[in-house]
Amino acid sequence: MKTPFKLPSAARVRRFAADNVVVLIFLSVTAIAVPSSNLSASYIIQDLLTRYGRNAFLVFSLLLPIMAGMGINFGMVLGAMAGEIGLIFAVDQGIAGVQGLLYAVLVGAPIAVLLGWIAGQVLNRARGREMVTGYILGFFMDGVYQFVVLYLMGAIIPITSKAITLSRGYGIRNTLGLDSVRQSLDKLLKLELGPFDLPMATYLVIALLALFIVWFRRTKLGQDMRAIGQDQTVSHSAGIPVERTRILAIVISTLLAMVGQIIFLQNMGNMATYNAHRQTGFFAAAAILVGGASVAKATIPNVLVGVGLLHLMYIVVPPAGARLFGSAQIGEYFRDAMSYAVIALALALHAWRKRANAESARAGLRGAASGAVQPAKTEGGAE
Amino acid sequence: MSGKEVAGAKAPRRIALRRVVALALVAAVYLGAGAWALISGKSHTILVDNKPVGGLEAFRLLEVSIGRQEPLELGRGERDKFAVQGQRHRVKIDLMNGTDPVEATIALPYDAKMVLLSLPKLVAGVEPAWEPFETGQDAPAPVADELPEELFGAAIDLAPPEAGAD
Amino acid sequence: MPDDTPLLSLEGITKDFYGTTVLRDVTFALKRGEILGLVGENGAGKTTLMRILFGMPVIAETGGFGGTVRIDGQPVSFRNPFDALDAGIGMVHQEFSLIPGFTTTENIMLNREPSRRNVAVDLFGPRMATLDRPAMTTRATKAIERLGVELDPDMLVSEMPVGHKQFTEIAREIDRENVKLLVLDEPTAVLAESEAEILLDSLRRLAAQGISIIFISHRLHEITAVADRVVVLRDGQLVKDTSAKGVEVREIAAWMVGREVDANARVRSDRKYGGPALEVERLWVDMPGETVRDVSFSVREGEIFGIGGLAGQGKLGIPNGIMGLFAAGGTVRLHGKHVELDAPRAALDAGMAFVSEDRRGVGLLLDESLDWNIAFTAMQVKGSYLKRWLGGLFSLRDEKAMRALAEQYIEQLEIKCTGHRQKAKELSGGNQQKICLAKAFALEPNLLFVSEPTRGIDVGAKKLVLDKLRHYNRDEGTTIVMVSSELEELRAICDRVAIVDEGRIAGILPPDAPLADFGLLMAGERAAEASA
Repeated sequence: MKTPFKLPSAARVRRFAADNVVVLIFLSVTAIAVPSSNLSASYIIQDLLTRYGRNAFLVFSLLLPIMAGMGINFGMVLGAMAGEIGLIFAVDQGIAGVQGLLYAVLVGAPIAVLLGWIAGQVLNRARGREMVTGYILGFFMDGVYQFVVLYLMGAIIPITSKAITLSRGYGIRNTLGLDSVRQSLDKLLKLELGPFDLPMATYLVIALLALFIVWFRRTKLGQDMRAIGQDQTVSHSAGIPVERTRILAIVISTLLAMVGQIIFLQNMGNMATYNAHRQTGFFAAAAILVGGASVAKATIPNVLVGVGLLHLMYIVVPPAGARLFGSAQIGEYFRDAMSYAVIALALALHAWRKRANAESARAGLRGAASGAVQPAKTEGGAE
Repeated sequence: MSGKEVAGAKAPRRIALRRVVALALVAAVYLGAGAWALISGKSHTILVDNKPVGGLEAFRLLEVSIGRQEPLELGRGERDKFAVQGQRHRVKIDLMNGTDPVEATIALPYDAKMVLLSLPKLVAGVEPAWEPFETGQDAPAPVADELPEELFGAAIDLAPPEAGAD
Repeated sequence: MPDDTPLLSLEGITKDFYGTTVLRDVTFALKRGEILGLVGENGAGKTTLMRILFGMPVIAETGGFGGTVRIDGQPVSFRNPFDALDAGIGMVHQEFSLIPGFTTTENIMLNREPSRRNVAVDLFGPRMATLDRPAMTTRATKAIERLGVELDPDMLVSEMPVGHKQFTEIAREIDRENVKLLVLDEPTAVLAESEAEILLDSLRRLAAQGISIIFISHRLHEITAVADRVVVLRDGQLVKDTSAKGVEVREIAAWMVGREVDANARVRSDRKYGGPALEVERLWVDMPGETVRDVSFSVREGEIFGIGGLAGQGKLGIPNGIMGLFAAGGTVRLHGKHVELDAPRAALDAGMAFVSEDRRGVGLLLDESLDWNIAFTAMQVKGSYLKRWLGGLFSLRDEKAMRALAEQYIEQLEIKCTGHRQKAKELSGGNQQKICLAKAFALEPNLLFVSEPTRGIDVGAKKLVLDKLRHYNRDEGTTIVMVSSELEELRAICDRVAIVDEGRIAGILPPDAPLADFGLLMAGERAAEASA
């Protein structure tokens, strides 16, 4: 029997605030910045629409590892690297348009699977410390990526186009122009709605991914991931292959991050060969956390809300900084600091929130002797 | 796998077969998609050329379009370019003299990066109307900022000497 | 009777670990639909026997076992527990193995979910099949019905009372199509008596459906209540295999320990009490699962005051709250002096000591040696067993004194161990409990809280622990507040017994009050009705 107990309204407000403090802080900062930025509503909306298409896919790739109890997969930058390698080949071979993106995905897929598998193996050996391990693994793989792209490409790995090779004859240039594939997905199905341009093909791909995730949760593998995310020992004793399932979660996440990075870069139109992936994990993590997710629980609405909120702040804060402090740079520093603060806050909150939830749930159980709160019928109880 | 295990396993075998077929299908789709992307996505540059060639006169003024791209107007002796994907293209030339537009299909080799399409030849029906075009000049020499500026936060001088990195 | 072949027969099972024989020639059989009560003290060999039955890898790793296990007359040898499961043997463990965020249904069907094939199955394997939720619910409901209990199939485990968790676990085992034999290891350990009663009913139902059950319990009255046959192990040998009909708890206990147990010995030669030692007024304690709402009582000097009641009603919250381990409010006075709540140190300084029900979590430093465990709190609180140097500027542990103390208690409490340097985690439950007692005694408290002192320990150790408490009270004059789920032991040693219900004291009775009165109080009747 479950008798829903009533929380006093002050406690309820406090609990709501505790649950959503990240979102609330973000909203209030943005609310201050929007009017001071002096940007028109249609400019902000158009920019947001563009950024949704650009970033949402990447953020979605974080969902499954969170579900499998592995926290935020900072190792997703491995997938981003795989996508970039795919794009380098597409540009080198002169494959343009949507076909170029498809080609990049096909080239990137085996690399992403391999990297994801390696990451999964490593994370299985670092139980309970997946996030920091993934983060450092990203740094390590960044070095490997540089070695491959800067030294092997053109030397051992055949690269035909001189336009993307360094003049010394090997290695890829610092900036890779993606003119041949620039916004080819965004332009594929462009919908003009009043003053706004909607990249419908990109949205369609993102919607398909969301559907995939909804479907995936209903599969046996998805159920196993949920089980493992909550209790590995119990799952293991029920015969669920824990390690394999965790590896699969990371492999799928890495694959999705690969596709996500390609979508991101086609929108940007050029690629900082050695830097493009460095912030990927960080931005995606900030977005999903701003959306109200925790490192233990994340949903599709978290992704959608988070991408919107984070990018709204990214749009309005620099101009606001320019107007208020006379320097757009202050705004840029500020938004970076805010994003990092969000991640730090969310990680700290994860522990704190768990306790706050448990306590507020119990607050209603205190007896009349405590004076402050009303006595309430015990929930469940023996019998 | 021992013979004993296989003997009584007809149903698992059928499932295994299904899986093999399914995986083969995936492999086929993967390779097929790759091939399609490679072939139809390959980009070429077609230079459209309205100059006298081999005894053929150039046209005074014409409008040329390839595929569904916006037509370009070329005067006598002028040259312009189209960026296209894939190898077979429909070229449409309007000589702007009241006659019906001339339409022709050209097929380019896969590895031709840039071809020079002579419009007088195309209108006259000379086969082939195009020839490979070598630019002779290579990619522009990289300048210093094309190199990664920093690795692990420390500036490393990776620039080749001729690039004159400072 | 269609078939006389026993479902399970164990023939001459022998096992030794590195030369120590833990099972010697154990032979018994189990018929279809029979409930076998397996009893024995800790270390009698029950656990090893079940490990052999389930093919736990640890058995093979330590050299296998002698004898034969037959199921339906066929010799079997399982290589791992999953083989045993496939053969139709289910095990319900003492600890819950449930996923907290899953519903009853999801837990019952865990890793056996019915699913529907789809294209992805061919591409990426069977785990891509989608779950067939309606079928899951149907099957889970069926399993719950077989148990004959009421469980909400859609309730999250994390929101369930403890009894429901136990039933969920059992339902999971009986959902297997081929389940023939169910092994329950102390399934009632975490249950209140009323819940245990329902569980026993379920077991009878299952047996009536033809499922054989091996029921392991320390609560001997449950064995006599539910079992068709009783098998008693002692020191690795089968000492008794008899029909349960007409067998008395006292007899079983005697077979187990090999000596007569006088559980109800009651020495109450005109007890004398002083003034009030502990006065508690309007106490509330916010302890998860054991909330105390409004409790007032007073304990007299030199008294053993018992606090009983069903699990989850708040009896455990009382000592935990007074000792400052959980958020609490109200007034507590010790010998007239106000005791600060929410401050464990204040409670200890006031001269109270607490033997926690959570032996492993709160009571013991598991990785430390016995002497360190016994002396630790005394050292912290009273500064005993410390040698001071340079006028108390810094101090070192007095190893010698600690050792003497440890040895004194090891002898006094008959703690079975290899010596005072042994680690606490290596001891059995009963001996760990004795260490906890020793630790509290070492504080020389003027008021001692003892919470569930006999939980999870065997009959022999139980009696010893209770005797020690009684002697300690008599010899040292220490006031004791004892909290226990076992009414019998409260009645055996306490001078008064308070029954807690829904976070309040339902009534306080003398120990020789009729059992029915206690029962009424536990059932939520107030003292007025109970004594009427």
